[in-house]
Amino acid sequence: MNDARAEGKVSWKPEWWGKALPPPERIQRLADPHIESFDWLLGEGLHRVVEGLDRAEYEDDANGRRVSFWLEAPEVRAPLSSSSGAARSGALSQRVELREFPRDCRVGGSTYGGDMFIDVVVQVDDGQPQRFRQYLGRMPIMVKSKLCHLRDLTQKSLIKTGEEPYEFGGYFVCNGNERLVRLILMQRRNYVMAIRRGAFKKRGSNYTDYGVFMRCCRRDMSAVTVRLFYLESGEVNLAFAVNREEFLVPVGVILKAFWDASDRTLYESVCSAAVAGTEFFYSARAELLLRKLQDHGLKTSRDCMEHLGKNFRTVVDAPKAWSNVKAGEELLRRHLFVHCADNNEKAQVLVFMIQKLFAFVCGTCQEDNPDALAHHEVLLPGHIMAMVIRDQFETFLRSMKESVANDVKYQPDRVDYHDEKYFQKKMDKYLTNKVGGKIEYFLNTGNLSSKSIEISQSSGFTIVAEKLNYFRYISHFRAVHRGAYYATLQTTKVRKLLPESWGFMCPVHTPDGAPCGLLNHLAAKCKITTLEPEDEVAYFNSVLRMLVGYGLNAQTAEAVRVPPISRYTPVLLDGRLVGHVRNENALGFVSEVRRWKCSRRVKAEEEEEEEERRTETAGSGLNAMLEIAYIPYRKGEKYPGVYAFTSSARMMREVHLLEERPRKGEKGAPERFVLGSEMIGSLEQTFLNVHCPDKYVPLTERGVDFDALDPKYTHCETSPAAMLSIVASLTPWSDFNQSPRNMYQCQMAKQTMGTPLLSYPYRFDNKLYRLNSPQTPITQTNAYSDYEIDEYASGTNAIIAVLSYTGYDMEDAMIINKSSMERGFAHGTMYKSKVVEVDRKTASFGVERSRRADHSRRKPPRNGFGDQFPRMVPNGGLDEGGSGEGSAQSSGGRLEPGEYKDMDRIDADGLPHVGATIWPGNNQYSVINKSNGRSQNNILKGEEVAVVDQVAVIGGGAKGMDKVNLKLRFNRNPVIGDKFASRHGQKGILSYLYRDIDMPWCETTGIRPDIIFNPHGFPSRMTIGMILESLASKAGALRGEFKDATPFATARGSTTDLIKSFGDELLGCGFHRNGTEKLVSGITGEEMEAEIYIGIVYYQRLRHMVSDKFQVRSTGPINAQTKQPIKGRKVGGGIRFGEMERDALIAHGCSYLTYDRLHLSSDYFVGDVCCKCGQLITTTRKPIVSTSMGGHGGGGDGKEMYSCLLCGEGSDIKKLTLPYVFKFLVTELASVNIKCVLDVDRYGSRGGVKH
Amino acid sequence: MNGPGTATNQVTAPGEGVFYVCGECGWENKIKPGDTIQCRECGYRILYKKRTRRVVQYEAR
Repeated sequence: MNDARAEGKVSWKPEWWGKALPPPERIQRLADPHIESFDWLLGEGLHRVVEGLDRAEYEDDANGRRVSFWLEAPEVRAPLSSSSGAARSGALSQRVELREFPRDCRVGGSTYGGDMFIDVVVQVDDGQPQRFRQYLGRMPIMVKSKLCHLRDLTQKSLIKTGEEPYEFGGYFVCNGNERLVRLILMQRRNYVMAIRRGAFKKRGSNYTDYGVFMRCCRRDMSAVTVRLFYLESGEVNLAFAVNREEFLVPVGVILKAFWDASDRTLYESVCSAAVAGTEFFYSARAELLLRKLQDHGLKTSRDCMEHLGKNFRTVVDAPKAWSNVKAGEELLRRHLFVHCADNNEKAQVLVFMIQKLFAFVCGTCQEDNPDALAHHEVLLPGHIMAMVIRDQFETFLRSMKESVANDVKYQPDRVDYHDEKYFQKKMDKYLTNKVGGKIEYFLNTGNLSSKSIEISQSSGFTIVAEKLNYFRYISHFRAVHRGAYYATLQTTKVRKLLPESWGFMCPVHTPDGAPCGLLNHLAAKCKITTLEPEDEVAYFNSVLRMLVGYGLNAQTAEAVRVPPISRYTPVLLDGRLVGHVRNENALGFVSEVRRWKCSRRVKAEEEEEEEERRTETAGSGLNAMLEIAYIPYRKGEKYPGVYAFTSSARMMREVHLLEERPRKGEKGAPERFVLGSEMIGSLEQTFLNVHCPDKYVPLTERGVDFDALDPKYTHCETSPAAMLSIVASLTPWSDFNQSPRNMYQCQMAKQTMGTPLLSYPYRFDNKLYRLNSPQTPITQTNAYSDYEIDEYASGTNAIIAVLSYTGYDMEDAMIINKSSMERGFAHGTMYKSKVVEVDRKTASFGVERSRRADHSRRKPPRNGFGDQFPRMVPNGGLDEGGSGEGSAQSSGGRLEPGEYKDMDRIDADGLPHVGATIWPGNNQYSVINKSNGRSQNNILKGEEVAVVDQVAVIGGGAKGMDKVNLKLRFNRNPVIGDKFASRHGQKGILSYLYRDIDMPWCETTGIRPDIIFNPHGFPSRMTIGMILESLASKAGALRGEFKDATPFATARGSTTDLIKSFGDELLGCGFHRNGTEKLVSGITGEEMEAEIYIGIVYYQRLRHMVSDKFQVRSTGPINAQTKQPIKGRKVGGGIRFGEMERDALIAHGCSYLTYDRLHLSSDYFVGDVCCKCGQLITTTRKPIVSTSMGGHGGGGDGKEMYSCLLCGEGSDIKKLTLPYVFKFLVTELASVNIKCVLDVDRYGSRGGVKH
Repeated sequence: MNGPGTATNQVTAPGEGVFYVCGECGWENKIKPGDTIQCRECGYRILYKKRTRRVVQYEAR
């Protein structure tokens, strides 16, 4: 909380609004992982994608030519208005805005994107490459990314452009909707995982359940996983996938192909990892591995390469000119250990993997938990889009090649390698204007189907960023999903909250129900690395130099000898084995690196202050984000090593690094102090001792007393509340509540009807809610001011009496003071917008002037729902009848000249007047059918009265009006049945709007409560935070100050007794220190015996409202086949009276009620049964046709004649009341040759009515 | 907001055109059926309908 506010002096400064400053830093950072990864895509990523693609080469044997295709120089431009410049010049003034803004797309229902181009290069033989600049369509641009026009706007300019002053971007505008790419957890890249899974045995005979995995990432963020499987015989098979097809190769072949060394060297390298007692295990298996090569007759490295090339020619699509060795080399380069630079490095990593597998099998190392956050990274939007684009380009190159091949085969005369048009035509077919649309499709649907992308799910990648309220909106950007696959699993293992998540994922903020534990939210301070070095090689080398400087024995290029693991710990940098450190030096080595990291972070912060925000502070920024985890050797635990990572997509968070120094002038233990802040990663954290302040450690005036701290702690948390997400950290005194209540609050905060945005006039979202008079909560946490939540307030401070006053507050129901409601308490509004488009050819907006007035439409209700709405007064004023109807209808149904249908609310352009009221059943606008000049019905559905809020006409360049965005406003003031909740997971339904005079009132002040809360809500839920909030807010309100309710105050050094201090404050204001007061009944005027706990609690109004949910029906639509009432609220259906409801009635013996519900009110039907044959469907009913002349009407006495088709005239037909479905059933049975006979006779005359 | 369309009485006969406010510069454009939907001043293509000038009142009975 900022100081001014804590002192209760200033809550809001008017100059905040006009300031020409960028939005606050913390809010800007909310969507960082999204924006930065997309920036990477726009800048470096696209180039990496294009560079990473292999050239498509086609050898035309018929003509003896060779053609190759590749791509170069991708470019994306900033969003520009789609209308051509020519249309704008001329008559228009010079103030033409060519830039397109997100707002234009939101209102206009279009996509915010920029043009995308690429060079296709075609080379025939070794001739001059031909370049073709191709337009790829419009690529959606992320708001606030590099190319977005809002990027560096100040708050003032943002307001001017009709955007949020606190806009943080991170989403795309697709067809007017805001959509974002979900963050998804992935296996950590470039890290070897040991996994035991029963499914491995299914791979073939001899396979065991042991395996090690490594997800290797290319620079364009596409990944290839290398897996090693252990066989019962002691052999090891390596598996890799190309286009989802898995290939298994004995690992010796690959190892030898990578590493041209003697068998002895290979043998010793593998065995170097053996620790005491396992030497034989290693040596036997290493020998087996090499012996296997002998069996295949593969003696040298070249033999292995040739063997691979021979077998994988088709996989790498090798041209004929390539030798087997070349094909083998290509296979290894493209698909195996793609994160490494050369074969030597790959060999070292492979050896490491084999060693880990052996250690895993013989039990010296433990299984890695694939569900632990330590082994996870995040799939970022920019990265997944890079994969989508890569996939598109790959497909294009392949189809170019195939297309030329087909031409050579089938239409040889069409092939002309020197004709530019020949290639141009193909590009137009396969590439031009295609890629942008594909990306947009991906964003619009979230579907991704590609063989080359290694992701387990194929849909659900994107979601709509609902602007229901600010919390929900923020949460979308901070949510991390575990993956759609895990949602289908029966086990709950993946959903568990593991200690590895501490500080990265919020333990509180996860929904309950189906996605519980799968959809988590990042802690407020958790960052995801996104920076990528410009020059990777140089950066890698600089980090390596640093490591060598701190004592790393670097791996030499020749790598003759791998030192034994019993004395040397391997060091891996980004999954590449860079060297070793002596075991006894390892700890010192790592702490040296930490100090270096810490100093880089300070440097990065300084640089950032000097330079502009988010500029490339590549070197030091990257350095501070280095993750270095030292895992020492312990038998049966995690595989030892020093694992360093510089890659992006890792989760990191800030902690304090503790350091020791000799105490000045004193002897004894050295003094400990905070050296600085360090960013630590999730794997790193698992092997660190980070101290979290708690009440058990002595405090000094400056905070935690580090000297008293256990010396094992090397780090210290910045704040005990740092583990919480933004939404969770807004719950006041959440440390006083029972844990699940805080979870419920996170859920409910996201359903609150609050202030989703400030730019209402510029927004045309499908549905928007608004709380008309939101307030600042009196008790608030640090996060409330840190994240400027006050700008998006979402509740009201209400006076709550904890009292069981009437029967209306049972079972979580609550009573609201009617006068409070009428004064504006929790008043709300709902906006609904829709885009109305007409087909220009067949219809247009306009009014119909030819037809008679239509009297059949519904009159506005009187004394009914919506009666209190203002009406539009026609030109002549309200007539005597006071109907307020348009005079068009009043003059005998004829339209006067100049008048038209629905004139009371629809303007001459066919659109409603802004401010007009539309009752359900009325036309909202008027569209004229061009063929007959008649207007079509566009009736407002539902039960609610709407007021036209805004009408935006969207021009598309062509003449005439064909697209309109219509915004309607609905009144949503509290009614009985609406849902409310405090900030402590205490929800309730408004059950009665109690009259003010009947409310109990305080004896001393005369105050009547706004809400009566039932005391039974407390004992079982144990939401002490709410009780405390009530007390604190009461004191705060009396003293005119805000109260700090940040959780874990005692751990932060506060020693104040909250209850005592608030009690004292209350006492000072003349109230009872317990927060209780004497109340007088408003009904009897008697003083209540008990003193009532009364105070102020911040109440949220939830979006679940009866107006959206009530369902009533007396009669209505029925199903055509069964004649039973249909279901569905929208269509006026009923609520199912099902089996269990029927059971209840039977149990109560309500036979007539059962009969009424299930028969009379459902599908009552009188059927005809033939008593002779007992059939229901053979009877016919036809009027008796009189043969005699004279009598008119034909039927004589009007009776119908019944007969049975089988039994003829003599049949005995009775009437029987049946459910119609029964007849339906009998008919259906007849259709499958089953006869159904009713034994009517048994019941004699009572069985039916005789005719 | 002081374009040519600040007429006090906005009751328009059909076909005569209706006034719209430009979403970018606030200029009032009179647009007849069949006209291009574009601000004549700045070329912006999203126009807003003006609030009705007709009296909207609660029935006080």
